[in-house]
Amino acid sequence: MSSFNEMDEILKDFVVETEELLEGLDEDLVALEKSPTDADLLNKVFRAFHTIKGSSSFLGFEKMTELTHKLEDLLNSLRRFELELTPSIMDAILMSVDKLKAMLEAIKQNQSIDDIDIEQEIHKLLKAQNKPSQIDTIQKDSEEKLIEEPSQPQESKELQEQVQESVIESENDIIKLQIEEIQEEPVPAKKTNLTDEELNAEIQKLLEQRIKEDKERRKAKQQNNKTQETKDTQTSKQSERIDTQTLTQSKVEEVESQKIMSNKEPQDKSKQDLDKQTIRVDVKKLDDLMDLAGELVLAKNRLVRLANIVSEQNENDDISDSLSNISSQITLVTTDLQMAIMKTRMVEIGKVFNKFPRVVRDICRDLNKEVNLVIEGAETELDKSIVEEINEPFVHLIRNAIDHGIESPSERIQKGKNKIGTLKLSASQEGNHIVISVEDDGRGMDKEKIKQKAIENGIITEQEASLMSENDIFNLVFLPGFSTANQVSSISGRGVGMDVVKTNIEKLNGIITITSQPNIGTKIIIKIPLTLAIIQSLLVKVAGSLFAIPLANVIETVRIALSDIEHVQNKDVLRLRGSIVPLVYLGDILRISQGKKTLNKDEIYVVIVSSAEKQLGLVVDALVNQEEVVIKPLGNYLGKVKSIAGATIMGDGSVALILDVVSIVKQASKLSVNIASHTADQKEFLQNALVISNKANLEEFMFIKENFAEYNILFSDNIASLYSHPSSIVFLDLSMPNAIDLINDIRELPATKKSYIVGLSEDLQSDKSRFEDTSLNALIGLNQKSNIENIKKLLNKKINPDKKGGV
Amino acid sequence: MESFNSDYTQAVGFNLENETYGIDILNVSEIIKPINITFIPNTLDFVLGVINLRGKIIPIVDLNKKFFDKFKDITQDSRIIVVSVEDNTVGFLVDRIKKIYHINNQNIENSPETVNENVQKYIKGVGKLDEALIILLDVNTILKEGGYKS
Repeated sequence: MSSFNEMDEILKDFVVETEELLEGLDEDLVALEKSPTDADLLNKVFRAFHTIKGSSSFLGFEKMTELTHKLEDLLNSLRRFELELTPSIMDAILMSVDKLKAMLEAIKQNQSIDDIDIEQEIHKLLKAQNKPSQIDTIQKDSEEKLIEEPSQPQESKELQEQVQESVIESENDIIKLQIEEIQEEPVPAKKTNLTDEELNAEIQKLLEQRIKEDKERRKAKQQNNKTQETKDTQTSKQSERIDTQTLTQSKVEEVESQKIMSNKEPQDKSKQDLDKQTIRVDVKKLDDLMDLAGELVLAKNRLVRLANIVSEQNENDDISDSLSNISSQITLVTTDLQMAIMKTRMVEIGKVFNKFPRVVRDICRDLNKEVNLVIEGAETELDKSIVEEINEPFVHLIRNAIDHGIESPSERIQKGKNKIGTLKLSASQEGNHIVISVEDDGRGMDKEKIKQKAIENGIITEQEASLMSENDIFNLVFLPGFSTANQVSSISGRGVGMDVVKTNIEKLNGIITITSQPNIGTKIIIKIPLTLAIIQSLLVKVAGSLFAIPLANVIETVRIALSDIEHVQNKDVLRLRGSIVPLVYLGDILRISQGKKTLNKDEIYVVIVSSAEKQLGLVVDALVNQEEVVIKPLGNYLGKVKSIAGATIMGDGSVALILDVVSIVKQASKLSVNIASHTADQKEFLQNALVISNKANLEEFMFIKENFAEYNILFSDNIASLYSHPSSIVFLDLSMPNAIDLINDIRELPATKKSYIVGLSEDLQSDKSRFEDTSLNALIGLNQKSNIENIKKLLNKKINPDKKGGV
Repeated sequence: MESFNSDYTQAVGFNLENETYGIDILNVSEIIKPINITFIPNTLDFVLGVINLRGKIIPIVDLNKKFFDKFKDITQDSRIIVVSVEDNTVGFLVDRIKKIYHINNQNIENSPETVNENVQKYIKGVGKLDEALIILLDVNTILKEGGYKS
């Protein structure tokens, strides 16, 4: 039983490690193509293949072993400079690496890899090896080199290889294999044929080199810090992190001197973060930790609310003061804790970016274009789950940029541009968001051509096209099946890519913007939230229910009047700084507002939201608050509910639903209910009255019917009746336990904001003081029926002066 | 587990429409009094909404509505039985909790044909007890069906 689990563990580790190695290989191989004589790089690649060979043979993946063995042979020839690295050899290597990836994928899926055909790859590899071109001159060259710089790195590499080999081949111990963390972990020293003195001298030399390197690196990082500090406050935290990193580095240095000496690895310039002390943690554990932090945030919200209530009730009270203190302290600590846990889940975006040199190389070779890929901000961190999602969209964006954007070298020369195009990938952090952009210096997007294609495909009419803003035109490319390419190539043209980009970015609650200038280039900017688990949200109320809109999707909130709303084909739109935004009532999308008239025509609140490239105005009853909420899934039973992304628990323990803006934006166009139908009609409003009481026997309220006979009176036990029966007078039974909340709820509803609320009291004396601070307009004592005449007079004045009062 | 007293089924007994139903106790994680339910749009109508159960969001299914297409008022006796199968947790709103029944497996029979068709597919069997018949529900089928609109 346990041995089976151990085997499972080993397999898991093997998959993770090999995956990392293969990812690194892509990057290194592309770099190698640019500097084919870089001995360090060659060795690194060789080692990677060697490690995969070792562990795959241990686990009995013979095909993998066979292929890596051939790769190793080829690399060995390359690194001995017996062979020149040509693009076709590189193609063979890359092809084999792809095959290795495919095998690993199969292993991951628990499939057998015996059926995977590697004949072709092996054939190519052998061919590459057997027909070395100009072998003589190269060999001479390399021999000279070897003489020039006495084989120091070479020798130590060999030593290290021997060490590794002996670990892999002689040790069957399971744990050893797990520890054998490729280059990152020191390899236990084994007996070698070097004498102790030689070894020590070797180590001393390496150590000096290393210390020098560390110093340089630290200097570079400090400089980095300075520039970052000036950027914004957010990055200051990052630089702190970097400081501690360098600190640990120097600490490690101290300790290193003796203990680790014998295990020291040869320097490698491409391994920047070698000294970072890391452990591998199951993501599940981090998820659990995140969940717990979420619970804590909720508990904190409750505490804060309680502290506020207490301090409102007892001002200048010692206990309430210290409660406030504690609550603000806990707020600080939870926020920090949450950030810290979030950080542990963060990985550098470089993990994705590093794959792109290979992608760019392949596309360029296919299209005969020359592109220089510039990567900025690869150290920007974001949540692991997001990093995994952004790979695919960016591959599409890069393809598009090279295929459609960047011109062929001859065209570029003609235009007076640099023959080599530039593609810039950059990432940076802005508050709670990561901004990633893909920028090329190509021909830019052709507005006219896009318009024309869209008209041809019947997506828009000519008339619509003439009205469209530049942004709207660019956004047409996100439509599925849209492509301006006249020819479909293996790279692009089928019109799928941008749709994939949009869908993936939507999933992450991201926003896409395109800017493009003819012959200068195109820039696509993507803004995504740092994490998906805890989000800032805007709380709104619709028909009495509380909803949270992710702040990432909120562009702005505006207050308008019904008269500001314009109509296009009988649909409501709002003209907002030149662009036209469709408007819908949130209640209609959620289908909870049929026949409800909760809006006030003079005061309509609109939340402008955006999903990927589209904007929409959501009309709500009230804007409540901005709050940090923890997304909780609705569970398997409810699956994916339309318009709802999840739920969250509010400070008072109640549940609020988090809206799925993507799905809402999608549904909005199908909606045909006008906002005007949710505003209270003036005449109706003035005629309606509502009595709210939860008493079973309504006998004692019958006097209202007699005294206010001119009104259309409805009796109800809850406030919901007010939504469909907007009333200028509300009689409220003050003996209801939540009377104060009800008053607030009535006032919160735009339609009844100015209604006349009459309290029905059993005990006038005590209710007078209890409701002193509320917005109750009048009180009627149920026993003596006092005040009725006054109220009637007042109401007459209020409602009838010149038919203007009320709403 | 199986070997331990597998001759008997223990079921939480409850009332719906004056009949006694039972859910295998191994599927029941707890029984609570009705608390504030938040309505969720775009779900099937027997889904009353969700509750906050100590920080977890749990959907509530009205079994009266699901089985008999009838909404009943929540009363003093109403209870929510929180049922859990694998990762799937749902609360069932029922009229009243009776007690835990020990039913000899030999006394469990296939459900009679006379039972309402709508309910039939959710019945695992009928337990014969001295005092009454208890209709044993197949929780798995109910949970697998889900409460979302397709």
